[in-house]
Amino acid sequence: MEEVRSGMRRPEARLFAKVTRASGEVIDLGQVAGPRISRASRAKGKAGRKRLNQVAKEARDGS
Amino acid sequence: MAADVVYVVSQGLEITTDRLLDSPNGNEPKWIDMGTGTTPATATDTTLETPGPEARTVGVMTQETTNTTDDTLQVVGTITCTTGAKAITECGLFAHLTSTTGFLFLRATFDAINLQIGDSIEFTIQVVYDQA
Repeated sequence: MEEVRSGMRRPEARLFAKVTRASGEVIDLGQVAGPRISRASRAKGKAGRKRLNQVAKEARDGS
Repeated sequence: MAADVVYVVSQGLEITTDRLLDSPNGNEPKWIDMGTGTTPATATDTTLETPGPEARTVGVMTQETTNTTDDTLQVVGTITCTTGAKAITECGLFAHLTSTTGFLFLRATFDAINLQIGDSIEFTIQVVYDQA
């Protein structure tokens, strides 16, 4: 499915992302777009987003 | 939840062949931008859907090896969130520092990455030409 989305006749592209918070905390999200995202990368992304969502909630709540 | 899709868009193909010319007409695709648009990337995109207010950053371009020696273009660049918390859902690679149309090489969309002021994202973009 993802390979069709990425375009079979075009160069295959992948995107990785790593967030460094203002505090210096580094959150590696692994591969965030493109074909063949590994299970490990998905787990990394899920954990990283959970942490960033928690930070966003704390910022909204003022805690 | 955005679709995690990335395309070398049609303009990107044009930029690729232009760069093979003896005297290319345009610049190399090395400027990275991010935004908050959620419409999944397609091959015909010409710019980001909702670019953020932060300026594009100049990425570092290298050749990497995925399947065959030096078959992969890699661009790495960091953008810092300077103007308010936001959920980043798209990223683009451009062949121009500021122009909004005509220079998009690649667009990606993905699940939201929540940023606060002062946070930064290092994007690593890989384009693999050998799909063996």
